[in-house]
Amino acid sequence: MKTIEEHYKVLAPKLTNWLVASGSPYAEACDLVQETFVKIWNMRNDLHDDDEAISGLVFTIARNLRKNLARDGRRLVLQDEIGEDEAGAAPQSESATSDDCAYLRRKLSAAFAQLPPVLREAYTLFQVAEMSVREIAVQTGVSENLVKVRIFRAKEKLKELLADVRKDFR
Amino acid sequence: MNISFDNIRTNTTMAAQGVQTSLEAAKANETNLEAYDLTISLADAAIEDIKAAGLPKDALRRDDDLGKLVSAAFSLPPPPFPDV
Repeated sequence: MKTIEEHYKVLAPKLTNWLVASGSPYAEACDLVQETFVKIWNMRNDLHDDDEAISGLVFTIARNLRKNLARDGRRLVLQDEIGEDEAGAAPQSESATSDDCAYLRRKLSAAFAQLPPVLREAYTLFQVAEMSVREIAVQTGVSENLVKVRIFRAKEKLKELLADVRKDFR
Repeated sequence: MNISFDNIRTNTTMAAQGVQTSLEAAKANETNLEAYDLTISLADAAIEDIKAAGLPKDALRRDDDLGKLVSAAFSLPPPPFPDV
């Protein structure tokens, strides 16, 4: 059976970036990831050895924690306490610099914010959290086919919204 | 993409039967809520299946231009493992 630390290595990057892509400031995302895994740690003796189930549980806990945070109107840390620049993004392509990534992130976040919530959720879970269609269907409580349609619609809308940005980065 | 046309056919046929049952109930001045609800859910399922069947083959690629941009932008490092 995988240890919680091993699950963390796989899931924490996906969860952190998904939280940021779906509207949380980076510092808040980091707090939510850690708080989520404290809860997972406390539940460690009751968890089954099923990667997909644990991934689903991690994302569900993080979503609920974020809802609670929004409801309580509180922030766990000041948003500027840990800046994205300090954290240092890890660009995947050699040509992309940190500045490029920060610029892209702002543009993409603005575009995501213009998507209907169900499309944004399906697409970010698919592309940023790298969930399978089946996992997204379970996570969002809709059919797999509806998930596929939502991802496709989100992509089409994003291509429209980001036409200029995509040209710049070609 | 794995599309079950049998599934689409079954859902569509059953939805049509539900419509017929609901219509007959309406003609008899009755309300058959069970048939009505079943019709709606089956019709929704059939519509989703048909829409998914019409998606292009590359609709779910993560490594297209857009996907590469998104992956590059959202590659922030996670926080360290919490102190438990």
